[in-house]
Amino acid sequence: MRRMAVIGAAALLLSACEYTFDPKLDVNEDRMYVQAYVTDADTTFVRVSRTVPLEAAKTAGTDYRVEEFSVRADGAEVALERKDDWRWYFLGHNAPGTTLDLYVKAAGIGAASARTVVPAAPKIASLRSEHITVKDRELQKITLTLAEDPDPDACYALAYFLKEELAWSAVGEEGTEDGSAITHVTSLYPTSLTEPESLTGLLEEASRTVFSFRPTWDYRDDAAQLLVLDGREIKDRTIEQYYTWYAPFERTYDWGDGNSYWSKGDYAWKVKLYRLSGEAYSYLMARKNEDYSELAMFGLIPPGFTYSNVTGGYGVFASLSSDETPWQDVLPE
Amino acid sequence: MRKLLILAGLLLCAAALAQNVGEMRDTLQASRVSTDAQKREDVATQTSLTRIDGSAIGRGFAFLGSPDVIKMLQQLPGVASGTELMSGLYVRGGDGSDNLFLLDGVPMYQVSHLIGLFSSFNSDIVDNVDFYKGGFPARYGGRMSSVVDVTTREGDCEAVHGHFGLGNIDGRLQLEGPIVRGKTSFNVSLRRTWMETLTVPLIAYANHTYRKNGDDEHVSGHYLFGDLNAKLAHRFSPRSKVVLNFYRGRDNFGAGNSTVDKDGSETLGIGMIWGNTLGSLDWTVDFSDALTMKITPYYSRYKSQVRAQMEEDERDDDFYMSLDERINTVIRDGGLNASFVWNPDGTHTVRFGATGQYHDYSPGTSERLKIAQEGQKYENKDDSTVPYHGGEAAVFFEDEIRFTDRWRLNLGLRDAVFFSVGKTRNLLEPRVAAKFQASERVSLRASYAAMNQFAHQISSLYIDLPINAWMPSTALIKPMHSDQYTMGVYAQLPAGLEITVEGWYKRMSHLYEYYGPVTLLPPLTSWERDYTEGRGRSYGGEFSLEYRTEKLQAAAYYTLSWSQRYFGKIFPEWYADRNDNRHKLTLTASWRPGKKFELYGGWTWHTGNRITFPTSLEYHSEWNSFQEKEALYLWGKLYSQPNNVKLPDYHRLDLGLNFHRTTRRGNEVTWNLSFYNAYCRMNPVAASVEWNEKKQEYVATAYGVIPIVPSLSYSLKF
Repeated sequence: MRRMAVIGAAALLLSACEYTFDPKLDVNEDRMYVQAYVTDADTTFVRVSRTVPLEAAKTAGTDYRVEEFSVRADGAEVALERKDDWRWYFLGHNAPGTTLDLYVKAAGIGAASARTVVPAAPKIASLRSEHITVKDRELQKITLTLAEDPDPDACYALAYFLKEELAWSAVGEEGTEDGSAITHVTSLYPTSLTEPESLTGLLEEASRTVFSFRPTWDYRDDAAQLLVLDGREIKDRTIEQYYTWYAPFERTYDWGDGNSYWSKGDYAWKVKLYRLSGEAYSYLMARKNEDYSELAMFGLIPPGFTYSNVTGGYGVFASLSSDETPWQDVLPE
Repeated sequence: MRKLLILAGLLLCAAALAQNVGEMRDTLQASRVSTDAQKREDVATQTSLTRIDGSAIGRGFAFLGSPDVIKMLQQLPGVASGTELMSGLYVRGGDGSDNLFLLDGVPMYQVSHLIGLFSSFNSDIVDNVDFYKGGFPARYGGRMSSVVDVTTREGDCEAVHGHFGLGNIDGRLQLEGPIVRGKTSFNVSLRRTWMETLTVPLIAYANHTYRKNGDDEHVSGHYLFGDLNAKLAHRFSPRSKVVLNFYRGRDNFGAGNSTVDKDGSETLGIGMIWGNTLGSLDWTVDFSDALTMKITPYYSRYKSQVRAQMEEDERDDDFYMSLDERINTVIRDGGLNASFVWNPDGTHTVRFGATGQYHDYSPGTSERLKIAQEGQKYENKDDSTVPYHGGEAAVFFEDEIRFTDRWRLNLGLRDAVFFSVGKTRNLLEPRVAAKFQASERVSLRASYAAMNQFAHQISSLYIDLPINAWMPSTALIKPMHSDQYTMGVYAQLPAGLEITVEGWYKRMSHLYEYYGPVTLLPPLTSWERDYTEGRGRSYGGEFSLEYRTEKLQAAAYYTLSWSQRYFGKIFPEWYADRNDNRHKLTLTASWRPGKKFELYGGWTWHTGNRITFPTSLEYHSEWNSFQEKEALYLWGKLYSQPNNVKLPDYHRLDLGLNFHRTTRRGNEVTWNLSFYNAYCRMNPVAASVEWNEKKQEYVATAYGVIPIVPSLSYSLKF
């Protein structure tokens, strides 16, 4: 099968002919590129950069100077602070129902604006888990119950964060530094009752939509993995998921040169249920589908990956509300 | 020799089309009704109709030796063909799933073999094709953009004869004749690929070579398609006839890999099968010269299946496993059509009737698992289906009124009811057409038609895959709707010339674009979530010029059109549809100087299809985890506007030669030599834009893969 696929692909490529052409792109202006997600976190980071038209030379200037930048919450201006070269931030103003308007303009670049309304927060009533064995596979069955009927037109998402304790000892320029922390990292992915490697299992996995979500826009931070749920799929206020059960772990790394690292994860989890605003869903889906943008070369995929809700610019200004609950694994008997 | 080549070039390059258009007719003739020709009576006010006689298809351009109905329709004005060589039919801004394909009155969901290289319509048995692009008569409904009404031929009531053909890929056999002379006839046509006679020994040879080289791996593969058309007609009397129609078509693809060694064996296989099965019974009665009735019960089933099989036998570990999994799409339709044609006087022709269909959409999966290990056995059987049921019923009425010799009006109304998944919809579809006979040879016509479509093709890719599912409208997914206005001038000029100039405006609502994650098989359990609703509009003009004599037929078709979409969740403004080909020109010629041979050629040109290119670069940084700093500053591609780039223009020349010979027994033998894409223009099917180090700029590159395709075929009429 593999040999035949390789022979077929080689035959196709060898017979291909290529030639350059002028695509006549009609974008001639630099624009602002803005990305921000308002969440339940106290701090909302707004990432700002600029664009140049594709047909401009790569050595086009990259600097830009922001002349005007404002965020208004229900019409009232919000205090903005600069975090670094790429990011501004503001605190609070993330209550459900808040209307937030963003406006940014840089010297020589057209203004960009966007609006988002923070959606109503979902409410988790309870979470129950049980340990089950299916075909020699150890699984966790998790049942999440909502306190209210879900909005059938809304998009929800689940994320599971494992509580992990860390400790380290690192040799630096000024001596040895010891540290410790507690983090929560997305560490759990749903599975299917059938074999995950089977066609049915693969289909079930393909039918799940998982967004990679990093609202801080800092690539040093781990991205949360959001499992998307349609409001219409949540029947009787209940969400049922199956996960592969993992035993708790404790790891120690000692490189013998004074550097060591210890981490421990047990059964403590945090489960967050998000409700996404429409533009949050559209933009996260667009970024996900952009991985397949090569298929657009063949005109094979719909153009949903071009989404942006920023007028006069590109990017997204969106909001997510959430509720969370702690969860403890049920041990196998 | 040189002069001969120049002469041939002049003849063939001056006008070239891929098929014989000799039998294409317009509809200027007066209405007439008869039992045998009921489907072909002309409606004087009809716009946007092309009729193709079956014999014209058979004499036309034969891609890989097989004439094809859809390939012929793709050449017509107002029709975009989409990806090259596929059986796409995008009519006046519509999508491929917006077309109603009827085979002897029975709707078909999937009309292609070999992923679109050939259609399901066997030209050997096709009697007539009525292709409506607008001005739809009230008796048609259920799709938005076009109606392709294919009628197969009844058998000869007097003598047995047939046809055998062999092309590059398939072989065909057709046989017809009387069962009871003058009363009962049959017509059977079979078509099947013969490629496996080559591929099977080639693969066997490859496996033999692997084994000689010590490789334990063994590969297998096959592809075949076949279809069977059968028709049985019986005349009770000159006024009453019953016809039984049957069609079965099937494609079967499979590939596998197995490894056998001293420790055990492992086998993997994948396969796809798809196909239609249709059956109908037409009962036609001429109650009088004024009243004709036709009743047709029918049944159709479309099934597609993707299967994956795995078998593992590890002797050392005493382990055995077998897994068989399938994804099925099954659509069953049962229906009844009843139609009447009534001519109460010379000024009215009334058509009325009713249709009813029951739809059963059943996509699902099944799994069979067996495991045996160390004496213990485990078996599991899982089947899951997501059934959707729906029903459609409609009554229609249409009156062609002749006010004067110059003025005619056609008033029609179709009332369609659709029920599915707890929702019932009742939609009225007015159909109006008018004609003014300006002179003996020139008429002006105009029409309006409203159409609704209750079936939606589910696909995350713009490929008409046979495994794509169909779903009915639901409470959340509304029926798609179109309103089309058409106006034109139609002229039959002396010396065999016909000219048509027609313009249209079409608006479409409740269109649905896939909006979910890119995947080959979109989830069906939550498919409504993954579609966003939008609108469409298209408008333009078509010009056609046809010339016919006994020996020479030529045609020129030109289309100027716009096609746009609006999906607010994708882009906040109207944007170009992917098949927005602004200009299209088709030139055809068919010349038969004598009995022995005929030449034909066709040249097609249209502006390129549209794709989505990045428009800007975003300046951003990336974290370098090794150096723990923002070390890289990158320009990332930014996609901001759908379908913003037009591929380079498409043009292609097809040439063909038929050589006829009569055998000593009086049978006609025809050798066909054809060249698809005769000057080997590598028309682009894809494009990309990448940074060019040498030029220090981004460069767009187009890729073409379809070269010249020669074919040779043989056919025998007996």
